[in-house]
Amino acid sequence: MGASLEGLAASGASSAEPFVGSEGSEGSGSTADVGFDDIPWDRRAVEHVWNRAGFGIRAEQVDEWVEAGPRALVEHLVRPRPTVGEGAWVPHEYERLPYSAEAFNRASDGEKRELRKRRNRWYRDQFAALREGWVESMLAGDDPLRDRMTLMWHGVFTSSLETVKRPALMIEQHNTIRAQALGSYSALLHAMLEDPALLVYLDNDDNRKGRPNENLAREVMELFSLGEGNYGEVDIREAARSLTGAGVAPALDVATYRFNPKRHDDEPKVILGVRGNHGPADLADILLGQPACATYVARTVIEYLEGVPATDERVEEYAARLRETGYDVGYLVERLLLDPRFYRDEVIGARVASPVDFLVGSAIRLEAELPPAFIVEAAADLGQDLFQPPNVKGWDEGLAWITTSTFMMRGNIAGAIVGAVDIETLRADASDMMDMSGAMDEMGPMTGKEKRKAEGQQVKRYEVAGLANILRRAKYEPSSMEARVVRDANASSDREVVALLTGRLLAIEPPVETLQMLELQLGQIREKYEVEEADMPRFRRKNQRVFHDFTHLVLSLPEAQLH
Amino acid sequence: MNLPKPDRRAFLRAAAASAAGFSLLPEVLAGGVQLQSLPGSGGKNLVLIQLSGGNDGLATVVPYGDDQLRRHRRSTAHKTSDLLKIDDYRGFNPGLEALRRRFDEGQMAIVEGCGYPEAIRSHFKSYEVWHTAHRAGRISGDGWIGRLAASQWAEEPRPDRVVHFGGKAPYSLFSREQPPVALASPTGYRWFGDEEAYARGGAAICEHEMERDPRHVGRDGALDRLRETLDDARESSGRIRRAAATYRTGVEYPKTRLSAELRDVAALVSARSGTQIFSVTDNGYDTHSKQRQAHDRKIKDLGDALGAFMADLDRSEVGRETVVLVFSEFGRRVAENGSAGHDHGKAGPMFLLGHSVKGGLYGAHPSLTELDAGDLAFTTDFRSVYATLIQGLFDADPVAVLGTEYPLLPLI
Repeated sequence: MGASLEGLAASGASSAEPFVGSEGSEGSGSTADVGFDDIPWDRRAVEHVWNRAGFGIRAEQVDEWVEAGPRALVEHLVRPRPTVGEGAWVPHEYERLPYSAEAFNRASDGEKRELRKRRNRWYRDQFAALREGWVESMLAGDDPLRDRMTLMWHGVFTSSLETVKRPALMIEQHNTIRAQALGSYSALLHAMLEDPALLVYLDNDDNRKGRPNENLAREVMELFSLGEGNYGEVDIREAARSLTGAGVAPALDVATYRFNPKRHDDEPKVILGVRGNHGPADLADILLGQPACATYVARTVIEYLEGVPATDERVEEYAARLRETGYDVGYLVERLLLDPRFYRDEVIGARVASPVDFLVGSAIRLEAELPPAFIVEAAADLGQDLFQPPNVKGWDEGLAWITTSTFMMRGNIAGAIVGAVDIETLRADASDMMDMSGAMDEMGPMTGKEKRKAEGQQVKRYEVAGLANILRRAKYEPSSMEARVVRDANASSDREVVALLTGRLLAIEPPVETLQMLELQLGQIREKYEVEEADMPRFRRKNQRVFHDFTHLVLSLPEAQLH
Repeated sequence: MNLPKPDRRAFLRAAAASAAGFSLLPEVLAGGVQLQSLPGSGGKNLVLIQLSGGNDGLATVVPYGDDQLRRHRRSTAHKTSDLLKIDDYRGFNPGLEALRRRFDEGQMAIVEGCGYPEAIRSHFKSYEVWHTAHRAGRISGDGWIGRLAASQWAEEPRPDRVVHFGGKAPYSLFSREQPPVALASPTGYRWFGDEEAYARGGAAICEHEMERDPRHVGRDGALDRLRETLDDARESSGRIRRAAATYRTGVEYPKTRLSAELRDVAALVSARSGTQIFSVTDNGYDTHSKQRQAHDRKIKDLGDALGAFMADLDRSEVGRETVVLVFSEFGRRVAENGSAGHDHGKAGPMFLLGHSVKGGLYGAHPSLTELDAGDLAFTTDFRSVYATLIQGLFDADPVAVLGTEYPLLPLI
């Protein structure tokens, strides 16, 4: 990749509208360059940036960024990391299978069966290491904006392990996207048209002269660059011809890009009015030259980070910047985060947290030491299965994340995180269900052991059971952040504790009616555990139970699904 | 965002907002709901089965009598002797034994060549057309089932009137006024904890104190929608769990995901708990390469699942009154591509099953000679099938729901 982060820094400095250093709105030529003095900079704004450009921030870190100001924070977020570039930090370095293709070919049928089993286990472990490594990075928050944008691009240039099969390819794709996540969209698009995972995912390995396969050609226009309505069916057919021969060369567990000239259709084509003997790179250049392309990319980025529809005027303003800078996405994001409109009332607190946002954000705010495997599986249960998006369009953001079912599931996951929902809770529920269904009667009297077994089978049908088991195996202990915070603040009324803990647990400010409702609920929870209001600051086990039940409820509320 | 709240919600919130409110809460909130048999209020049940990815109609009901078929499909066409013949022109895919039986018994209608003008070959855009029944897609508003539900049951709102099994609901069910319930597994469909407290989370709307808390545009709009979802979750959870837990059937279903979901549908149909539209999605029909093997397996699983499901529905009157609609967002290209697969195409068949369906062939099989840019040209607008169901099953006005008049088919 040519344009690395250093390239980004250079482009930021050399671009037509130098911006770091041009403080304030005064002296700025364009009306669009309203300065960051106009940003209402307070705790809410700081949390807003961390929620959107990262995955959340711990409460005690907010003030230092209020102090430092917007420019310092945004510079911190876009600054090139020493861990990126040559010898870049990546979530997981793929480890090759510990046997060779020759060894496999020499093996007997029985040995081959064993080797395949071994391979499948190997693949599973490598894939788990990738997913968990990425989630660990999000939790650590060392390069939050890069993780955020990598997640966005993963939902644009989608591929799925289910189709691609070899985790090595997904890992390579992730690293390619990661390297360009805040770099050049132009470089990214070119790289993706040579990306083995994408070529396999969209069947381009089978796209050859005389027998074109249109899958990649269609999706690259519709979903990766222009958007529907900006090309015709003829363009897709011609683009498919330009992509013939772009495939992969597999070698056991890995695969590299291979362009096969014999399979390539070298005859002239006309794509979007441009005539020539186009190949894959020419197609990318033609797409990048379309006015619709920068518009599409700008809209994608703005709406992803703001979480509400952007006006055409605003999109065009940013699209113009993309064109001027040769598709510098880092610069676009930097401008967006310093745009006062990013902080308007319609935007703050109005984005529905995706499953990854909800889980990583809750873990950060709650200071819960969750095993990354838990977050990976929980996100999948909630509809965001990393590296296995539902289809080539990636994930639908916003309210589409929330159904009656995923809503309750989010609450159940929160319950597991604070220890309020565990296998015993579920067993008790299964037992009730079985009594209700009359299953006991049909099967006749059961021994205690048989009943436990039947309950166990029922529990397995609960999605949250698998998650509770991950926590049990990891010997996970729920966070005691709440009790500590209440003790440190010596908060001894329901009202104070509710204000304190909702401030800690929620990414948004809840409305007053919610605070009132929670005061009532906290009182009821205290009664259940026999804890007096004045005794709440005491650091003891039953107080922790009160706070855990309270946190379970708070994280199950509508307010906890927004950020 | 500013829709008037249905009375149910207003009641829940008023009840929950008062300290002594819980004694007023309906029994459903306490989780101990009694299943009541509802009279079929305004119609029978409809089950929607979406074959996602673009099902190849030409490999599902195969026009083996047309010589063109083999010319276009050297490696993907079936051997004529393997097909389950319907007449001397068409035959079912060998995996559809169960459907052939239903067809022979007059309980299955095949509407051939379904599509729409200026077909789109994008999965997503074509879904939008099928889901909204409008060429403009989502811009035109709610899904067609959502609009039907809003017009049909506005007087008796019920969150589980429309239920999707298996994760996220398709846009066809989307409605701002009557959103569907979407669930992964019915038994785990609950919030584990103090359910009264949870109910208040959806009900946390009371007198707003303007001086303490200025309205916050973005947040409050989103909160409104989320609270409605929570309300709906709470109300539907008890009913659905009970129906699934208490269901007994002698019918053995195959061990596939689709079958498991259809069994859950059968449980809810039989419980007569007020759900009238059911939806499931079967993925994996996007057969760009090596179609024969992959598609035959999908189709056999589909046929076997439907066979068990229909047998299960046969057991009750409410089941026998239920109609099943099978559709896909488009058919596939007539000619095979370079990978022994088929790229996205246009027209394809729709299937309707049930005792109240007048079985047989409807529409006309598209020509394999006069193609529309390499695809089958549609002969029946799919919205005619929608219109027929809207009128025939729900006794509603198709024009009010679909916005346009489409010719009805005599199949109900």
